[in-house]
Amino acid sequence: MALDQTVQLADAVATAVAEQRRLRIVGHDSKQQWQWPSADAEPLDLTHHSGVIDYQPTELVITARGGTALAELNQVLAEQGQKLASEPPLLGAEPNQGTLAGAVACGFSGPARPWGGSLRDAVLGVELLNGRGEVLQFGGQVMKNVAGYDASRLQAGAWGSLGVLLNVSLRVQPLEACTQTVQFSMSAVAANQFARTLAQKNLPLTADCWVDGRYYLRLAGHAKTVAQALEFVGGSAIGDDAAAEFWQQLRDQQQNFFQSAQAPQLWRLITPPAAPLPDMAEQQMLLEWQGGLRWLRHNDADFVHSYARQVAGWCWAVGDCQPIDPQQAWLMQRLKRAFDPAAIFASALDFERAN
Amino acid sequence: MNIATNSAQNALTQLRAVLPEGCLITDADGLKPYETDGLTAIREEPWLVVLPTTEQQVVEIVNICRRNAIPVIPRGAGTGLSGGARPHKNGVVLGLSKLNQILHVDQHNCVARVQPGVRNLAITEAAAAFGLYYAPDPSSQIACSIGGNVAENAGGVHCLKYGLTVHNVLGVRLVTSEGEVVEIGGAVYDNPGLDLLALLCGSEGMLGIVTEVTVALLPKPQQKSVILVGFDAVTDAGAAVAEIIAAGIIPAGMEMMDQRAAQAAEQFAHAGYPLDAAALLIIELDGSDAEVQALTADVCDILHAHGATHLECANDEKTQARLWKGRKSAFPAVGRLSPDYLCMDGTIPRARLAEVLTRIDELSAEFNLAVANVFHAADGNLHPLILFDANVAGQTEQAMRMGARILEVCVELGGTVTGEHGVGVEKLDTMCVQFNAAELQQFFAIKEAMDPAQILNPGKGIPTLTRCGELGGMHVHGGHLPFPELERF
Repeated sequence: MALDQTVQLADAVATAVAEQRRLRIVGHDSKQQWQWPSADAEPLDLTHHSGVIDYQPTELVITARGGTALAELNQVLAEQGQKLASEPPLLGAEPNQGTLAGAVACGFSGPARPWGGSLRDAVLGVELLNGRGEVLQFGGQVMKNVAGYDASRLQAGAWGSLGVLLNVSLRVQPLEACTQTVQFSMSAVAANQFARTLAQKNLPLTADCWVDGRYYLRLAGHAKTVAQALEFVGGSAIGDDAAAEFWQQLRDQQQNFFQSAQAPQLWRLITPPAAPLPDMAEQQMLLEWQGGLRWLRHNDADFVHSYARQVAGWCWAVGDCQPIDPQQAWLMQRLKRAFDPAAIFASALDFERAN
Repeated sequence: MNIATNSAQNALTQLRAVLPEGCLITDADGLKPYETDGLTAIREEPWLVVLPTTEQQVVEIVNICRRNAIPVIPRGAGTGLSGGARPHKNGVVLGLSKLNQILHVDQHNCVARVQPGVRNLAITEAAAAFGLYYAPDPSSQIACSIGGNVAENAGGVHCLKYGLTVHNVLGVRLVTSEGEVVEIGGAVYDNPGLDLLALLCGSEGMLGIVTEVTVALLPKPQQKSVILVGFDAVTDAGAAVAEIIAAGIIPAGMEMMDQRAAQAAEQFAHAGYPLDAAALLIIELDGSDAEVQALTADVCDILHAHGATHLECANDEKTQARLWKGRKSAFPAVGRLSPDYLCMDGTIPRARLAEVLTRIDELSAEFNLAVANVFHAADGNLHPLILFDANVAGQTEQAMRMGARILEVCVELGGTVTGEHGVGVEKLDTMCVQFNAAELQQFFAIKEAMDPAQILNPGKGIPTLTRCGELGGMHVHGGHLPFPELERF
C-alpha cells in the first residue's frame, strides 16, 4: 500500500459529507482513556498514511505524514542527535503506540514542557484535510511565518475536531551532550517551594517530578553547565539507565501513580506553578512542570473543582469530557463550523456540552 | 471628517458620551500622526481616533461601531512595517496607547500581567529587579507595544533559542467584535479546548482586540559572548551557520549582513566591521560562564574551518554593544545610501540562502535597482532592502514589483512571504502566491467565526479571491492557472 493516502482519505471525507455520516479519526487508538466516546462515528484510519517526508537536521525541522508512529519519529531524530523538545507521551497499553497526528491532536507535552516548550509551540506547519474534503496547507517548514492566520498551531489540542492532519512539520532540538538526574527526599510542599527558587535561576533543567516523598530533577546541557548546576542544586545522583526509565515512565503515564485501578478518580490539574497545594494527602498527588501540572487522586469532584477555581487553574477528570470555559465555547463552536461545517468529525472536544 | 451619514453622526455622539475628555480626536492636526504606521509610503486620514482608558470603554467603542457598521482599526504603537494599522477613511482608529499599565510582575510564577499599550522593553525593565526578562525583542522594542507584538506575532534577533511572541504569551483578555470580554489562558502552561491563543497571535487585529496580556518571564542568562566574523564568500558564511547548528549548538542570536549592508552599517555606527568581507556574521552565545566559554571556543573552531577572514570575540558588555550597534542600525544606515528603500521580509530554509541571494542578484540586475541584504541567519528570515528613489518616475512601482518577485522566490524555495512583519496591506498581493483559493476561503471562514460583523481591521491580512484573480503578472505553475474558478478580464 502506498504511504501517501491523501486521495483515499479525501475521498472518505467527501463520501462521509455526501452521506451525512460522522467520522472519528483514529491512529493507534492509544488515547482511548482520554477520548469522549462518540458511538455514532465510524473510524477513519490514518495509520496507513505514514512516513517521514522531509528531514534536514541542520534546518531543525522534520515533516512526516500524520499516521507515522511517534516512536519511529523519535528514533529517526535520535539517530541524528535530535529530539522533540516537548517530549510528547506515548500512551498506548502496548509499547510504541501513538502516531504523530494523534500526539499533535491531543496536544499533550511531557515532563520537559516548562523548558522545552509545548508540542504546539513546535508546530511549524500542517497539511489539513478539512470537513469540506479540501487539502489545505498552513504554515510551512520555516521557524518564522506570519502569513495568514496561524491555522497550524490551532490544530494542536484540537483532538481532530477541525480536520485530518495529513502531515505535520515540527521544529526539533539538538539532544543535550550531558544529562544527569538527582533526587531529594522531601515533602510535596517543600518541593513546591524548592521549585520556586529553581525557576528564578538560569539552570539547565529539563524535567522535574515530585512523587511519593521524593523530588526528582533532570539537568541536561553542556557538560560544564550541568556540573556547575549540580553543585548548586545538590541532591543524590541516579544512574543513567534508572533515570531514563523513570522519565520515560513518567512521560508515558506508566508510573504506579497512574496505574492503580482501585485508586480514586485521576485528575489532571493545570495551575499557576506557585499556587499552594490542595489540602489533601500528599501520596495522592504527583507534581510536574515545577508545580504547573498536578495529578491528583480524589473522588470528590466538588473539592477538586473548587480548588482549581480558587488557584486560577483548571481541572480535567481523566476519562470525562475536557472542560471548556462557556465564555470560549461559543467561539470554538464557530471555529469548528468554519473548518467542518457539516460536523462530520467527532472528537473528544464537546463544545455543545460546554454551552 | 470623511463621512457624514446618519449612522456616523449617531456613532460620534455615542462615542463622545462614553469617552473621557481628550480621548476622541476629530481635528485634522490631531489625526495626522495616525495617517500611517511604520509603512510610511501608505497614508490615509482616518475618520476619527479613539484612545480608550479602560477595557469597558473598548467594549463600548466596539459595540457602537458594530451597531453603526463602522470599521475599527486597532493600533498599538504604530511601529508595524506592513501597514496593519493603516486607517480607513470611514473608520475609527482604536489606539491602545492609554492602556499602558504594568498590572503585576509575579516573580513566583515568572509571569507579568500587562495592558496592551505597555512597551516591549518596559516589561523587561520592570522584571529586571527579579533577575527576569521578557525574551522576544523586535528591533523596535523601545517603542513597540506588547498588544502590537501579539497582533503581529513579533520576533526579534533571539527567536531561534527563545521563540516568537506566540511562545512567550500565556494569556490574554480579548474584546470580541460582538463586545464580549473573553479571558483566555493565564499564568498556566496549557488550556482546554481549541488553542485560541495560538490563533490570536499574528492575527493583525482582525479577530479581536487584546486588552490585557500575560507574558512568560525568563531568568537572565549568567553570561554571554558576541562573535563578529567576516567571510570572503556568502556561501562560506552559510556553511558555517549550518555547521554550528549541526554541532548541536543553538546560539541566542545569529545575524548575517552582505557587503553592502555591512559597509553602510560601518559608516553609520563605526562598529569596527571589516569593509572587505563579502558577508559578516554576528553570533551571540549565552548560558553559564563555563558553557559560554566552551561554546565560544567550539564556534570559533567551526568559523576558522569555514574560512573566516576576520574574527573578533567580545566578552565585555561595552564591546558587545559596539558589535551589535552596527547590525541594529543597519536599516537607518542603508537609508543613507539611497533616498528610499523597501524592506522585504521573506523566510527561507537556511540551506537555500546562497541560491536566494544569487536570484536576488539577478533580479537586481534585471530591475537595475541595488539591494542590501540583512538576514536573521539563525531562523532563515531574510530582509532584502531594495534601494530606489521615489522621485524618479516609476521607480517606486519597479521596487515593489521587484520585492514581489523576491517573495515569490522565497515561496518557490519552500519559504514564506512574511516571517515577522505581517501581511497588513503591503503583502496582500504576494499572499496570492502562497495560498490557493480553498486556503484563502478557510481564512475567511475563520474571520467570519471570530468577527461575524466584519468590522475589525477590514481589508487587511488576507486578500480577496477577486484581488488574487485580477492580479497582473500571475504565475502559472506547471500549466495550472491559479484560481481557475474566477473569470478573468
